[in-house]
Amino acid sequence: MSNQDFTKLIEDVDKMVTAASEQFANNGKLENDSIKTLLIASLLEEEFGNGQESN
Amino acid sequence: MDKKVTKTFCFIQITRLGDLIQTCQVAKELRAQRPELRLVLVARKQFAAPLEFLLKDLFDKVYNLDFKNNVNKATELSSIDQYITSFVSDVNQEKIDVSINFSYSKSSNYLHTLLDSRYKLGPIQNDQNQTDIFDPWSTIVQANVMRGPFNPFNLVDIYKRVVGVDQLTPETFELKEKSIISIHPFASSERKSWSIKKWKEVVIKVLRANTEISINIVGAKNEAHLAKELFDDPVIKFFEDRIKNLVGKTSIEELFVYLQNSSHFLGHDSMTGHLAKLANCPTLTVSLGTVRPQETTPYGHHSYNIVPKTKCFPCFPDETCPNYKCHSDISYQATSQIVNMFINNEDINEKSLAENVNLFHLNGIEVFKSEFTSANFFNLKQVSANPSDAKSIIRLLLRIIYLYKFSEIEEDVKFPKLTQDSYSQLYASLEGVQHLYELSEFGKKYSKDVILELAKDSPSINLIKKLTAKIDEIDKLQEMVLQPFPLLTPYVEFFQVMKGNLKGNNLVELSESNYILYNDYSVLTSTLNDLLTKILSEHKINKKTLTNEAKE
Repeated sequence: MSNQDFTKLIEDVDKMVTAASEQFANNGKLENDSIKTLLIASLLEEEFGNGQESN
Repeated sequence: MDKKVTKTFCFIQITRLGDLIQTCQVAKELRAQRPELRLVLVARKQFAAPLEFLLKDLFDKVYNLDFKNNVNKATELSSIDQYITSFVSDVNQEKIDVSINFSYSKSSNYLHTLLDSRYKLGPIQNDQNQTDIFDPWSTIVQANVMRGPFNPFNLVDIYKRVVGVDQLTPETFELKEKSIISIHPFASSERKSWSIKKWKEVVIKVLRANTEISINIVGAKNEAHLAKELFDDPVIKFFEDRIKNLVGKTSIEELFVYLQNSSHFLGHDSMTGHLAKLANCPTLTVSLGTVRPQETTPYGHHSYNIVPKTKCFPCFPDETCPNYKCHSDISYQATSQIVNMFINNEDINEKSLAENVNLFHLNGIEVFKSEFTSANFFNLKQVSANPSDAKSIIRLLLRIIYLYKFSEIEEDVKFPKLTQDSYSQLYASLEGVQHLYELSEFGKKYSKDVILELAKDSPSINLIKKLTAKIDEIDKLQEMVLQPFPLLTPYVEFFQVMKGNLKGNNLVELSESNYILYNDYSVLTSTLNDLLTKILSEHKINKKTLTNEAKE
């Protein structure tokens, strides 16, 4: 995946996380689809950010 | 595997290799005690694949989460979304009875939530996007492992308690005559490992003092440049027929065989130490930076650990550290002398340390040895002479209280020796313990008042609001107690995590849970008060006896 594609992917994930937040605000609870979105966002952060550092 | 399956257990371990090996130690125990269970594992492919040689005998099925590779291959988000949907669906085909999350990360919590298991142990992310934990041993991880240096248990023991396997001491193994010493002089982060220059000194000293041994330097591909620095040294070149560079040249499976053929292992806190222990190799760890020795010393017999007495040790990954003082507090001279004793299978104790290690170098360190207690729990026993500091006493008391409260287990524990400094700190903390006790009694009272009010035919909403506001105030006051009494942090943090996980679907149920929590906390703080008072009195009696003996 090129840097450009990766940037696009991150933007798309951000949009999905925003949609999940709105869904949460409207319904008062997270649905499974939103949980899946948050799972993808956190895995991306851990695999491609610095989130994997253990103690 | 031909067996009558009764229940399916699913372990979720999506953190690193070291954590996965520690999880294998629990799986091994569960497999031995309950062979009829179907045991499946969810792990990241990049960590599970190299350990397949271990996992295949322990798990009926391993679900490899290949997220990284799928992102690299993906052209758009929908394909990643499809991959995760299909992965979760595959795992859910298992009809899981019990799933256990050992990873304690946001991603593992979300994944755990998406699994259709009947019972869930360890953290999940609830529909309010908050972390829920309902079993006490996972609460200890959340409260004391993730937040501070006070966790008193080895992670393998905590995992065992979460799963509920019988607590058995691992089989012991015969010590071998010194022959091949495997050394892994690296770790996953700079602050957890010495500079290669220091290791060079240790290697040279040990080779000179033990002419019959040879050394294997082991490590991963990304550590090869550091190994080159070591092997480029002219003095190391002088020993080239006795020292082999295996860094980046072995798979983990091959490394495991090298460790099985080694008489001893030496290194920092890393996956390799845990692998060495699985290979029945005695280990000596040099702990630095963020390492918590009680928690991660290789689980088993014949594990030694050299720990710096640096005040800020252990630190946290997000803290900046300009000079790595803990690195210089453990000298290569002391380490080499202790390594010599270790590879000669000598008993390392207060006396032998005093005889073999220069006092000046000994003053900066503590040396620990693994033991299994009367209740078969792993413990790091201090073998160096230094009396206990206040933090280690607090850790010990936490261990006594948790074991009794959650498993009704009592270990034989001797009164710890105190320094004047630790005595003063603990004595001062007694006042804080009393504050916490009083606050929990108030918490009990107000929770009870809420329950009584709710039981009335027409409860007063205003009164209930006032009472719950008072309860909130109590919780804030608990945090304020920590400012003058920081040693009590693990107790307050444990309370906070429990409070965040109160059970109940309505105000009545929540108030009842609240009352039970404050009641438990009241018992906990009064037990802590009793234990602390006894330790302080014992110290005073001993001191008086010593003074009288000196006078006579």
